[in-house]
Amino acid sequence: MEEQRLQAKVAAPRSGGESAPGIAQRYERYIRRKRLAIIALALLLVVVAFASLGIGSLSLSVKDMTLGLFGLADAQVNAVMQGIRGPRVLTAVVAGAALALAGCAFQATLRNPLASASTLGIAQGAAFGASIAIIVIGGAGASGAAAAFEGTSTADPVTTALAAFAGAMLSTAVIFALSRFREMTPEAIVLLGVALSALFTGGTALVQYFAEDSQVAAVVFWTFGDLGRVTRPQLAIMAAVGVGAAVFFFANRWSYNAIEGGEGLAHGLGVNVRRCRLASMIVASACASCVIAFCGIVNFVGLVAPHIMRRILGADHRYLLPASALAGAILLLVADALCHLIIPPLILPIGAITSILGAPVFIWLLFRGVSR
Amino acid sequence: MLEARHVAFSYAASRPLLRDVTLALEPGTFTAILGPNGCGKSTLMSLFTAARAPQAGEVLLDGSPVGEVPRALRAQLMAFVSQHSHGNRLTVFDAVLMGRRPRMEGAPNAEDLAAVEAALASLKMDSLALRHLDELSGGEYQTVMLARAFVQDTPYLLLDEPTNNLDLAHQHRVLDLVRTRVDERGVGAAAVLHDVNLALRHCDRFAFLRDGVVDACGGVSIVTADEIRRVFHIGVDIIEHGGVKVMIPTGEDEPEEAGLDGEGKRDGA
Repeated sequence: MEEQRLQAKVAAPRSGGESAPGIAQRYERYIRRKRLAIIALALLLVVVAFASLGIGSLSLSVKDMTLGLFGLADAQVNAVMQGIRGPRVLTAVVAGAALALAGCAFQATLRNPLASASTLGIAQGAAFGASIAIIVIGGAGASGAAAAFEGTSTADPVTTALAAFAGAMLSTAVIFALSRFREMTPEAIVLLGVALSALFTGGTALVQYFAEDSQVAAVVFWTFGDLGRVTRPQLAIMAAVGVGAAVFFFANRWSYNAIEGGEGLAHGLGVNVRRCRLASMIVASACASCVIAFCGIVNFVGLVAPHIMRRILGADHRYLLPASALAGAILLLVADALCHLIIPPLILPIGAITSILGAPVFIWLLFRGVSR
Repeated sequence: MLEARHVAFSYAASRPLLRDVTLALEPGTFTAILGPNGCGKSTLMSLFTAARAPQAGEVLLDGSPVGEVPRALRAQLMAFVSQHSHGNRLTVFDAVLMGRRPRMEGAPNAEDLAAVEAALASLKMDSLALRHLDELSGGEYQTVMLARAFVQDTPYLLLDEPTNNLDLAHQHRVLDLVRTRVDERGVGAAAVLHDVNLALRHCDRFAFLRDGVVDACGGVSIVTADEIRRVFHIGVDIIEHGGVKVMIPTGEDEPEEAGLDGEGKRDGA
């Protein structure tokens, strides 16, 4: 009843709404332009996805590819589309979007443009976890060095993925545990992430020092990242986590806008900054860890995709979140296509290509003031 | 009524900041919170907004402990302009629209947009509506933060140094707008101010903080040369001009008297 009494007071003062028309209309036009930009990005994603589906020794028409995806073309086309190219493209879309969303949430809640899976120790933790799985756990049953070059070594890929996921979540777990004892500022969290990155990198180096050459090669191969090694159940898990995270982030879009303005401001608008920050960090870490555990280390997408969109569309998370997801998906698709196209029979490591592709785009955007 | 009752707060036990502060913000009044740098004015604000919990005493919002009022409801009752906030790539319109968030169900509706439009117009910010915050001057940015608090449309309005970075005309314009809200809608407002003359011109209640307590609190009659000297350690004359008190510094630094300020020294003030 106390609440009702207070509620009654809320309605009391009202704002007078009359003023010269114009600003609101101009604003609505501006919002419409943002929506159009997002639709354009979505169309671009479809075009890039189809272009990527066309990559491979078997050249197919758009019609054949579409039919093949639904299993309606001839057996060979069906097999190629449903078994190889379809899952690969879908993996790129899901992984790119998930990494970009996680990066966007990290940057907003930590109010730090450098926050991402690779600066918060998530990628390094995953590499550490994978090293343990491949070298320590896999090494115990050392069955053959030759298998190491297959990419997943003697360790079971599921064990590797689980260990990588556990390692990736470790830094978040540490940050979360410490924040229960002491209130942590965003700066402290980012610095802690950097420290944990160093710790994991050191740990990985130490584990590798005592490993066989072939095992080290397997770890390096794992960290290169490969969208092709993701299995269907893994893709399903990644998609489910990604969609769940996307819903969570989007529900918090206004809170992110407020938190970026400052804690006092967000508090005054009814946002529980601490809880929102921790919850977002856990969800974003789970999202990024999941992708990294299955695909290997895919750098830079999570950092650069939100930044590109922020410069073009602004920092309003109502539009920044979906735009970042689309940009991340497009970026990873293009990078994946380049991996296949640069030196044809070879498939270059995706993690390297995303950085090589993303960095120049990012630098170009930084230096060219974007007009609205 | 928003009131602090015997609240105490310090960041370190060895340096008590607020020792025993009792201050009530009543609807229809505009209180100036005055005091030297580092005397805990902003901290007192954060106790009012429940960003911090007092270590002793309590803060009551219309009778309920402010920390127990649900956040969403609190944001509909109390708007706060913080001394520190950050501009990012959000348009001015979006930033102000955020003030409507506590009242919005889902997407902003026409009424929300109209409220933002009116607030921007009243602050003469229309031409900047689609500019990004990180492209504004300090004064323009501060004005946007005020517009945001205005569209939040709350019965209580707390301002931490709202006239920071503002030019002379904007300082008066902003406080005039707050005054109008106080007079016309019965809003209970409080502002941390450094300019005593600005406070004398626009506020009707004055609270001087010194050594962790409210040294004096009341109407304009409490603003005396003696009080200013005791709180700020500076000699002033207070004259009347056009029915409004005006403070004129006389320039002489008043040495701290040992008896009077023994406690202040312990505070490291």
